[in-house]
Amino acid sequence: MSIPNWKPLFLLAVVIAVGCAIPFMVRAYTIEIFILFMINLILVCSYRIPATTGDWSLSHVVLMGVGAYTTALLSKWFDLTIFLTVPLSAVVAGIVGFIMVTPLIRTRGFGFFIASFALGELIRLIWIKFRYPFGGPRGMIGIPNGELGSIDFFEPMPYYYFVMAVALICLIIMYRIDQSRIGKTFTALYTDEGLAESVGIDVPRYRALAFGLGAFFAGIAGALLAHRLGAVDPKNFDVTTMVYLIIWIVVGGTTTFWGPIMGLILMTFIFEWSRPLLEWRPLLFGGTLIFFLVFLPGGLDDLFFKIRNKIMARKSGAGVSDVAS
Amino acid sequence: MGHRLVDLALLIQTIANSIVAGSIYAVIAVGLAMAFGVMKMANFAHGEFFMAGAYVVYVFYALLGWPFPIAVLMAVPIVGAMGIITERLIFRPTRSNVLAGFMATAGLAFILQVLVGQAWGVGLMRSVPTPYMGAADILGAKIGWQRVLVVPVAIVMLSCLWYFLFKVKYGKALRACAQDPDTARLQGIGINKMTMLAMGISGASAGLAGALMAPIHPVTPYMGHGVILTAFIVVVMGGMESIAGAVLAAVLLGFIHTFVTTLSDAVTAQMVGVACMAIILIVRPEGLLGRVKA
Amino acid sequence: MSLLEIKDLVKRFGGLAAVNGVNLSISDSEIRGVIGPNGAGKTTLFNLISGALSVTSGTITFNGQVVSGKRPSHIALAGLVRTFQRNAMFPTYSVLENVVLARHSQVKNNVFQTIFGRNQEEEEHRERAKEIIHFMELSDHQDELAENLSHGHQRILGIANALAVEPKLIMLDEPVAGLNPTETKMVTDHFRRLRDEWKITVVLVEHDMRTVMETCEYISVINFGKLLMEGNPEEVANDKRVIEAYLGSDDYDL
Repeated sequence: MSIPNWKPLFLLAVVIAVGCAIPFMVRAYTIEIFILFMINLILVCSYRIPATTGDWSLSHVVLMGVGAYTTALLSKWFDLTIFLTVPLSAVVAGIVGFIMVTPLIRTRGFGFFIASFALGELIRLIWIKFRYPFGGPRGMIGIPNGELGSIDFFEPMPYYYFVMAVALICLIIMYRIDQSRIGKTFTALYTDEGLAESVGIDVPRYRALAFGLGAFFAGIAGALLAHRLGAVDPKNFDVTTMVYLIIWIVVGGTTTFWGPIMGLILMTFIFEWSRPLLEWRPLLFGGTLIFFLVFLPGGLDDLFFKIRNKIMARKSGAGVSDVAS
Repeated sequence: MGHRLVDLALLIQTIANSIVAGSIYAVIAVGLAMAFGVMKMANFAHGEFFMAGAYVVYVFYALLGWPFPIAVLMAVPIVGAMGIITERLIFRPTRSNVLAGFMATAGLAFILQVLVGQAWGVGLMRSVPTPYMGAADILGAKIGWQRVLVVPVAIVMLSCLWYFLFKVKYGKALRACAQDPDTARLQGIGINKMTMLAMGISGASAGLAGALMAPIHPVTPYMGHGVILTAFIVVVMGGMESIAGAVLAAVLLGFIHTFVTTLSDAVTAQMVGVACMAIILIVRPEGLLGRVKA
Repeated sequence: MSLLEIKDLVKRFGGLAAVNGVNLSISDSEIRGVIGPNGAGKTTLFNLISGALSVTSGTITFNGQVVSGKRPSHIALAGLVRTFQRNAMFPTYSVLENVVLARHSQVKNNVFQTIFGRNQEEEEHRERAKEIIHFMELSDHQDELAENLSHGHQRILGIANALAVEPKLIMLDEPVAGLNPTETKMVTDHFRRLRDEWKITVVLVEHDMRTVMETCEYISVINFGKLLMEGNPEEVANDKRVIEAYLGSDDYDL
């Protein structure tokens, strides 16, 4: 038990090594793709946190937008450094998430899904309505890219490393949450709400916690995005963007921590490869979403799980049936 | 702000506009409510069905030069058929999971936008000439005939729907199925037939609404976006599966939207609508007319 | 002094009173049976006590604390834990993980300590979970997935999960429903040990009279939402009103 598990540490080292090497092997344009990919990585993993309690929301990209707008306001008005705007945006998004989820807790399933959409849309309409301070329908521009001493994050390479560091920290924390008692409580209360209550788990509180944590990390993703784009636009956080996030999640599945990551990797590849298709691309994505929901409702995650079980069953042969009886 | 409404003509104008808006919301929303009532089919692509109806009129009336009423009637079977296909390919395999069907039809919305965009152009707004020029003068309020037309069409359409649901065998079966699918099955009502029928009517009503609106609404592949939000607000207010509730909520929202837009602006009106939806979902999930299920 | 005190409890569904003025008093370290024919209001009473339903009027006091109107999780934390008729376990977790998870309420770590800390505390909870599993004689199955256990063992795991909350009183909802005689004995044997060795008060809400007669020292009979009579098993078995109540509901199986 006390022997440190070297396998994940080794894996982590490989990921870091590859991650550090990538900018030297690709063009500047591809570095931008990787930056966006890592921001999306934080976003998909953060979406999975409330999803494990059964709360699929339609407001997650709006909460990302809360992070982005907070960053825009903080860095434009108060000249805060990127090292402050990112964590503060996360906190603000987390608080907004908590406020939003307080009434939402009363709903479940489909009701939660569309009620979260309504509240998210309300926030988005506030950005559109109030030109001051949110910039109205066209959003805000001129957000500084951030800097560390003399290193300007406008250059893709330094920003790449910055985002990589933030993404790694976020993912490690989210992984620890998933593996911890809290993460297991999330899945447990989804499996059997009544049983969870009966052993003293305050289900509404934990659902709120999951939603708040998801919002916190979505806020980080939003802050990183705002600094990169230098602008925020209410259209970036509308339901179309939300559907793309849902596609990543549905394709990947939510059973394990790795599901949404797999979904994002696959869909990012498809997104980049399908560039020649131009305007036909949404059709490909819509078709993929329908395909997975109809034929592979558990996503890639579930598919791998089933394949692994089949291989294991074949390997151990009769041994498995003995245990089952 | 209120002093502007003291003007009687403006008040009548706003009420008339509200009725027009309420009628069109009702035609759009009854279909959504009906599909949700029968086997919980939540159609995210309902707005795209509306868009498809508008394009049917664009093609038959604006491009081919058919008479406007015929073009509108063409939208009914065409978009109705789209509804039936959607039921067969998406809602039936995802029947056990409301969310899955809802998300899959979001994918369908993407597909329809692309197909229409590729066939008739993305960037350009298609303009459909107004067949009925001029404006009606109602107690000093001026409303274009094209808008006035919406009201009788909505009334006729809702009356037909009511007659069908309460007087025709298939309509009664549909209601039975919405109330209790298991009992309906025992009585020999084919659930699959009923879900197809419901989606057919649902699509047809969305298509009809889009067709009527084509001359007065900018026709683009993305015109469904705004519609779907409004339709869901109406359906949630009405209690998700209640058709009568949807009609009542449609008229109510028509008034709310129009009055708030007149007093303030369109964004505020949208905010009020969305807030209504959130409050009802949270405080009274069964909606205005919905029944609490035991 | 009584541990659980129920006063004038009423629950109405619309116009219908499912529980209509029940008074019940259960003392510390009792093994109490609550029986009644189908539709007598047992399940409603059970759900009222555990907080799954809200009371229409009346009070429930547990261990000197009013618990009526509290969330089920708060009532569980006060030391009154229920089990379920269905199998009360998290199917995709192992037996040990189930009990560790159910010990959740005993963990004092906050969110930040859980995420960033070294989890010394969780080791201690794991040890305690193993003790509970040992006590319930499930040690041999500790690492099996809950869904792969036999029905009897799943039922016992349900009780182990309840024990993980360290209750003063455990309330069992038809714990042997659907089990065969061997499994029934395996489950009911534990009830006495719970009381004798761990000083836990056991309340058995049962439909099957035989089980109750064999395990409980004192029995309360409910009919038509009211307390019909109370007494030891012999008194109950010979009471005309009880026999009639069961006869009237045509599921007489004494």
